[in-house]
Amino acid sequence: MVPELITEATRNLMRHKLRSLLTALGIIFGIASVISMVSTGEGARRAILEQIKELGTNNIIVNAVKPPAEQNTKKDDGQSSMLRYGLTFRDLRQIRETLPTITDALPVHDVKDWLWWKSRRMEARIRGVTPRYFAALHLVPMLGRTLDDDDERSRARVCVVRTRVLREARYVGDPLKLQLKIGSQFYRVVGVLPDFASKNPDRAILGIDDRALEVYVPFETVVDRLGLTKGTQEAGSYEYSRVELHQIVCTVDREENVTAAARGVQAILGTFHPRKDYEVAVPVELLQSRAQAQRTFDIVLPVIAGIALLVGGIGILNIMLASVTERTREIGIRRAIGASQWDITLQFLVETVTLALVGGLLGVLLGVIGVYVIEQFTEWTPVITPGAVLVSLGISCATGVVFGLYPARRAAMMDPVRALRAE
Amino acid sequence: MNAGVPVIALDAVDKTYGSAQHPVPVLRAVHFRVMPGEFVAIVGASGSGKSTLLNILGCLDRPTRGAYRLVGQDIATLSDLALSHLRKTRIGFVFQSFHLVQHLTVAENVELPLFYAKVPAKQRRERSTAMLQRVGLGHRTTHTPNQLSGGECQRAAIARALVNQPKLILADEPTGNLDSKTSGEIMQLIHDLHGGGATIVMITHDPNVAAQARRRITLRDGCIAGDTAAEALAATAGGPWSLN
Repeated sequence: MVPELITEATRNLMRHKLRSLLTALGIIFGIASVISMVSTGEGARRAILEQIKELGTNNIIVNAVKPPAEQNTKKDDGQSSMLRYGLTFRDLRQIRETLPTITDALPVHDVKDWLWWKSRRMEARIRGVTPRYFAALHLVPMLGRTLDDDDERSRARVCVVRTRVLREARYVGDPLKLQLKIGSQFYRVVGVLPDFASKNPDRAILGIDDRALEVYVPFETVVDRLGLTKGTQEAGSYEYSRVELHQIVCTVDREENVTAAARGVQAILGTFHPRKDYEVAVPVELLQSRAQAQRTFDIVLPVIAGIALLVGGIGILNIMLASVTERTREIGIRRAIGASQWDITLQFLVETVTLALVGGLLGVLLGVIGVYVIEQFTEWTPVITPGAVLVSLGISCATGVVFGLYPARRAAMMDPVRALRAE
Repeated sequence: MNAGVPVIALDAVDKTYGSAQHPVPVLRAVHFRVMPGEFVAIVGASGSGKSTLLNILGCLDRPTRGAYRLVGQDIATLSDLALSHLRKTRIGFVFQSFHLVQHLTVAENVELPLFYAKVPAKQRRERSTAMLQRVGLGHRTTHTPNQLSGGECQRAAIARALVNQPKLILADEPTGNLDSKTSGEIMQLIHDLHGGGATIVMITHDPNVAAQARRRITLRDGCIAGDTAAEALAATAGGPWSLN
């Protein structure tokens, strides 16, 4: 019986195409907004997870921070213009020796220097890293290899570059045959790392600059050949700064120990760095705070969707009541030839639900289009999950039932004699 | 022919409209029986309660007082569902203004009672086609009612009334909206039905049409003012059809 009622309902709705479309408009836009919001949210959620996993959920990253200028002059003692700040080898040793849950603490020393290929000059960020650094941050070369212990021991002049560097150098050919000049010496490229997949606001917090041309060189090589002291010319005066370590990447044995270990790191550094010239970033905590923000979104979304569907449902209710009045005589005829109240209820209910469901389908379609539009303007890729589509259709079906019940009951409760006499 | 349970048994039926303070009596102490195979015309001036009586007979309305038994079944105690069931299985309605569903085709209109009786689609189609052929509308099945003439509409309505093989045909001025020629054709159809064994109760105020029925019940101000069969039978047998 129901399939035939659906056919009949569809015919009825098709007889008044414009009216049906206008009636379903509320549902269409409601569902479209739900789909696009859910998909965008889901896309954002996945992107964040991806991004933070990229930084390693078992890691604690400590960055050196240059203290504000007025503090520097005080520490100057008037005798030297040398600015000392940042993390030290002592910090590294202490972290390694005092915190049992930290399995590894890796030093990083950064140098901003010119990078030459032939006559092209680029400002690069030379990162002195130990071999284990790549594994800790899940950096996998797309070409060649990462740095190894031999490079470290022999203080080899080798480097691993981001593809961005090659692009910036306008180098075509085998990257592994490339020799880049850093400062005054040539370094052989042994590996190429992919660029960052997408913009990640967390990278800046973790001391990674998306736009920097990153070149990874063995730690010992950097310390030996480029030195820890750096001179910069600023406003006519020459200024020296000495930073032993720019970053310490700590790896914790288990994810649940990360927060405790981060407190430990902070306690150690707090003792030796009264100027607070460091910051501790924990990807897991970032992940948690992002998840928190996501939860807010998860609460707001159903509220917005609910309001949209309420409006859509009231539109349906309104038109169905009008339709019932308009079809009073038909209801009377059907009752006279044997339709029960339930038959009439079912007929109108099926019609409302069909309308709502078709509206829901159109809404999903519009939502998918909306999602692709949104994709053009955001950095993350929206993800349309089958669950979201099914839930949307379920919701529109429920809207049809809820708002169709009253008109349908009203039609069913009509007095058949009076209904027959209606014009 | 008159053996068995009466199709219609009305016992002192009253019908009152309006509020308790201002009751408007429409039917008063209406009392008669219709046996299977009878052809009854109900005549009377407009406002005499003919249509109300027909609505009660058709289980669309309930008596305020008194008992109505349709083929032995007292309808006072029945639920809406049971009444609907009676309407679709026992009763066929024919209306003055045809009352076809305008947006359905003729065949679909005829199939409607079968649809509510949950007859499978294929059988519905067969039965409606057969019924339409019987009333002479075999060539019009896919037309909508507004493409049909008045006489054709009434034929379709009769086909719809008959398709469930009801025990009782109720006709409310079936020829009221038709010219005399088509009116004659429709009456011929009704006579054929009667000849086939159907019980027919027909409202009319056309004396020519009323004259074609075996029995005439005259209503005046909600009361039965005359019943030809009762008079005849009362004269012969003094049976149960006596007037109160």
